[in-house]
Amino acid sequence: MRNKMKKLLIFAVVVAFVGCSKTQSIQEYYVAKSEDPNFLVIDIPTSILGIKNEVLNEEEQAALDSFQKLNVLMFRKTVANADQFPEELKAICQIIDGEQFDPLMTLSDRQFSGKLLLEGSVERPDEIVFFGSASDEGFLLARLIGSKMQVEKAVVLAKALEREGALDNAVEAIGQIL
Amino acid sequence: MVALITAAFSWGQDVFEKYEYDDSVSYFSISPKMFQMLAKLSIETSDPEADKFIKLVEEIESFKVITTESEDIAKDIQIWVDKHIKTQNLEELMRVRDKGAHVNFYVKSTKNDDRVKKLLMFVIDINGDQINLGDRNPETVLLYLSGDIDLTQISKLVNEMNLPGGQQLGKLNEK
Repeated sequence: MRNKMKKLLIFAVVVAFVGCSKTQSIQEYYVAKSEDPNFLVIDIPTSILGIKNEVLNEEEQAALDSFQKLNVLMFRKTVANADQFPEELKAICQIIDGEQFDPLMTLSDRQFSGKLLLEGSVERPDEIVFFGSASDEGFLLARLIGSKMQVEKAVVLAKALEREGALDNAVEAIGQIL
Repeated sequence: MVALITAAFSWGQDVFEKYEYDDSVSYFSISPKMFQMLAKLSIETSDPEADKFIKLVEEIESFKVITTESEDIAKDIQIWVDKHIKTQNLEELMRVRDKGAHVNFYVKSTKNDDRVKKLLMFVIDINGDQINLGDRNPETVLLYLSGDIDLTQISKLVNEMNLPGGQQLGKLNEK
């Protein structure tokens, strides 16, 4: 009996250890970097578009509701943090590779590389991620997060947003944040 | 055993994956999922030419292109192309000389003459002034397309990308 307990304990310790050594998730990374002065982290909810519920029809409203927010993280390369850049770039690439994303588009060149990734199904993705890095500028990670996003309604939605002047509202609101 | 697996893997390795992160290569790919998503968007324009182009894009499943200035990599690409043509039973569609550049088209054909399942376009010896990608002047381009591809439309895509050989490809179906 005692032997069994011992085995169980060892098992628990191993599980806990493996659990801890799991690579940092993107979400944890955002939280960790939001305090770092080298990073700019912005969270933009769709409410920033300033759309009143009554102006949208049911279809447009359902499409808008499936999109929740845009999460942006930026590392701007400067003379002061140039040494840090390769390290940070490596870290973020590892985190992205560790997540279960499907590639949509990939571009890589000497100075610039960019990736568009997807989580969830093609019909109803839960997240669309863009990651771009330029060797002399820095890098940018943007995540469009939602819940079963109705991508096929994007065109309908864009028209509705244009009609309601949502872009102007957003630009103004972002301007205030910055 | 491990060596055997490794050897088999590297032999069958896709030349696109091999050079994806190489500094002397520019790489661009669009995955089947992206095309599925684009098709879902069902974008419509008032321009019939643009609509045709969108339809063409919707029929593509996979798109990959690499360009390089490196002679060594160009040779390696050539080896892969030769091997790929044999293993995948591709047919030569045509060879074109456009201002010094050699353009070869290979296809996996279907019963319909205008449609192909795969298109491989291999361009070598491009002059510096033929293509300009910022500060780079690639000498070799390899483009790979799969899907249900309409050859009568694909020349537009090639022209759109400013690659040599597009005009000749367009004439092919006028005969």
